[in-house]
Amino acid sequence: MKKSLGGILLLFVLTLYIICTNEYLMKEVTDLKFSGNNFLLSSIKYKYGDLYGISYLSKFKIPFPDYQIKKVENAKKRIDLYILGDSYLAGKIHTSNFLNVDTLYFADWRGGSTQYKLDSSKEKILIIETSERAFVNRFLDNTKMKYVFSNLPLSNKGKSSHNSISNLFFNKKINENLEFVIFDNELFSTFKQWRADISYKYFNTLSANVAISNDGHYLFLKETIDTNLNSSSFRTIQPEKLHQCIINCRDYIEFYKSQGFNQVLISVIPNPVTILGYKNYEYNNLIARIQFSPERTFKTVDVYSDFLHSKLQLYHFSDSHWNTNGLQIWVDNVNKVLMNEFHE
Amino acid sequence: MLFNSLQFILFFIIVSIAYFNLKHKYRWMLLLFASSYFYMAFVPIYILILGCTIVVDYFAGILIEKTSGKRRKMFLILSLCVNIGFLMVFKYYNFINNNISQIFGILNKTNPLPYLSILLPIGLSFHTFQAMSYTIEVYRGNQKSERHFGIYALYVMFYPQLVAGPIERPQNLIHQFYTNHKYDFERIKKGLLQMAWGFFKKIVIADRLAQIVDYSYTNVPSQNGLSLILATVFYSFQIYCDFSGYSDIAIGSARVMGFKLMNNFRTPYLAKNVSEFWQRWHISLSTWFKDYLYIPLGGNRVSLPKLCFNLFLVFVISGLWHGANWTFIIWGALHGFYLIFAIIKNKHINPPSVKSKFLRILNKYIQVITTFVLISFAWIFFRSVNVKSAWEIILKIFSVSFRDSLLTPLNKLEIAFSFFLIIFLIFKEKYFFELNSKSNVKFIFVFLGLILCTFIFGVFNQNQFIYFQF
Repeated sequence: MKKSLGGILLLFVLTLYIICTNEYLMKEVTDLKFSGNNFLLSSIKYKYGDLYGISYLSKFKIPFPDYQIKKVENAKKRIDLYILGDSYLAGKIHTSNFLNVDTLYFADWRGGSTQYKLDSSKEKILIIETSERAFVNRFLDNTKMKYVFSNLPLSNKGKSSHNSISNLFFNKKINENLEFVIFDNELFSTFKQWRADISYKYFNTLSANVAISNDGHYLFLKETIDTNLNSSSFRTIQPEKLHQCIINCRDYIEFYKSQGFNQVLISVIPNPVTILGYKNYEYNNLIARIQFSPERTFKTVDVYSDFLHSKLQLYHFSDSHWNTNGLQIWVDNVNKVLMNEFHE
Repeated sequence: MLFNSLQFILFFIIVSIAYFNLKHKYRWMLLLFASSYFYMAFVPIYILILGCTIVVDYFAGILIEKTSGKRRKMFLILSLCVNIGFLMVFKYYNFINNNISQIFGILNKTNPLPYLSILLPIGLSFHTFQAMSYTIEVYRGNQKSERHFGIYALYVMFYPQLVAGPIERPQNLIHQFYTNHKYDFERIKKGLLQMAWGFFKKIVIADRLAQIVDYSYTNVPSQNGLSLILATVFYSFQIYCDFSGYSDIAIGSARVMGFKLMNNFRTPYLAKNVSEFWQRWHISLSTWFKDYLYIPLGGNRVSLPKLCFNLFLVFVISGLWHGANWTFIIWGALHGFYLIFAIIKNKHINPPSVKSKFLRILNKYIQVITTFVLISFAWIFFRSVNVKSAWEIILKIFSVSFRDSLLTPLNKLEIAFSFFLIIFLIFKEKYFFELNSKSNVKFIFVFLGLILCTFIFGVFNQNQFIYFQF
């Protein structure tokens, strides 16, 4: 009896271990965990906002609403809109949100190369969207993104057979994977919530990756505050560094134009802390400095000033991204650009 | 893999269950495979270094036993040279090279030796010392050479104590691999309880105290005397909970499978003098140095000046064992001085006999506190990034004033909680080892209580164990 029980437990734990070591199996499990609504199995990582999934503070356990962006009339479908974007846009926009757009192509910064054959009969517009927190890191290095939306294949250099074998047995992400598979569900989140609430209430301690806004209503991603990081809204950016980023933006734009795009625009989405502020930290004015830089020869989709003057709630309380209001302002601004620049 | 990781917990469950489900004759294979996997989870390629020392020492052991006279000694020296050679290359080469460069710099010359860009294999000092103790014991005739290559490899690689000890002797460990350890629920409960206590010490106490210690010791210029005193006291307990926590997990996980590893700690901060401290702290290392260095140098049966020199030498080498940095050498030297001072004092001053019970108890407390202060003072060098920083900390500590306020990243309640944990540790640690776990209800209550407390009060940032770097 003991042996049988031991055997079953061994089989179960071994299976769990193998799944969490194997990237392919993990992908399957991830899809499964995000698809259902099971108390013991389904992930709650993003169900209540990504920052709740880090902090587990009960106060921020707020159901995450769907994005509902207005649909627009698409009578003249003369534009193919290409967007290279990140989690601010991924899965949140649709062709019908944009004026005169025939097809919307979206490539995620986090993905690999996305190859499309450009249609010569259409006007091809590319918007390179980036969150403010990623701007410096993405644009300081000008080798990262040139092959997205192109016919050129990505380089596959650097993966030796030794590394492949090593990765097969020794997955560096195994602890992350185990945590996700075993503890990312409603049941364990209750315990995590107790723990987080006790730590916050008595020790004033939060997860190292989040911070709470001055008014106590919002969670912020710590990396957008920590002045040691390029992602911070409060880290001083030297003029030389900014200059390099803008030069690289121009290089990218030239590159994509040479690939056949009619117009390429840059859009930087402000960090929530940029708009909402944090303690008495001083904003580094990154977006305004890009916008008003004499070296900026390219067009932008700017939402910074609209956000500053808006009286609406633009960001989620428990998520590092904008809400429907914020996204709608961005979509409206894109539509204005589409209308003004190309059809009048 | 780190002990304080989910990966280890699953690994431990898999290996332990598989161990009891296998026939005895196949168990060594399982343990050897598991230990190799455990080690390779850090940096796979470094298994080759370990493999190399295992092969050399395995054959050296056989040759030492087979031969006699000078040849026998030669094989021992050869084996020791290979082991120490690996240590020298991977641990000390760059340190020596840096010092040579500084000397060359003073002479306005360039050091011709290149800098080696290498990572220190994890736990190198531990398994090297364990391997050396095997060949020395075979040479001394206390241990027969092990003919079963797999068992010998397992002696060096046994996963619970592979990367941070306890540094076992062959007489204690090798024969255990031949013993058929039966499933014994009472023993398993004791092992699990010791592991749970080890996790509690590491994750709840050590990693909590580390927040203050790391903050103060990495921002020395902005710290004041009071904050640095607190950080130093906390460091004394942090390193204890970190290392003894590791040892408890190691000993407990081996115990679950039926193996008995040596104790590494016996409430060291209750020692009444530095000599006693070393009988209670990192016992497996201090006895290693005693058996293989101090006694061969003459032990206590030498003249006073030679005794003092030997003690000093042993502790400097012990400091160097911990790390290739002058801070460790000074830490070791300080302990050497403490002991020399105690020997000279005891030789010339007889302690007055105290009849009053109260005064005896008071005297005991004073001795314990004095010893703790001396040990903590030495830890300043152990923890500091360099000698200059250690010196700055000492100067600040000695200029402490009543106006100093505590500069820490933790709030007052958490500091008070940290003190509570320390007091709990000092007075209640024995409870977890002496607990009569025959009652299943009591076991479940204490075991789950420890796990729950670890979960709620733990600091989960996957801090490495301090002694992994050695």
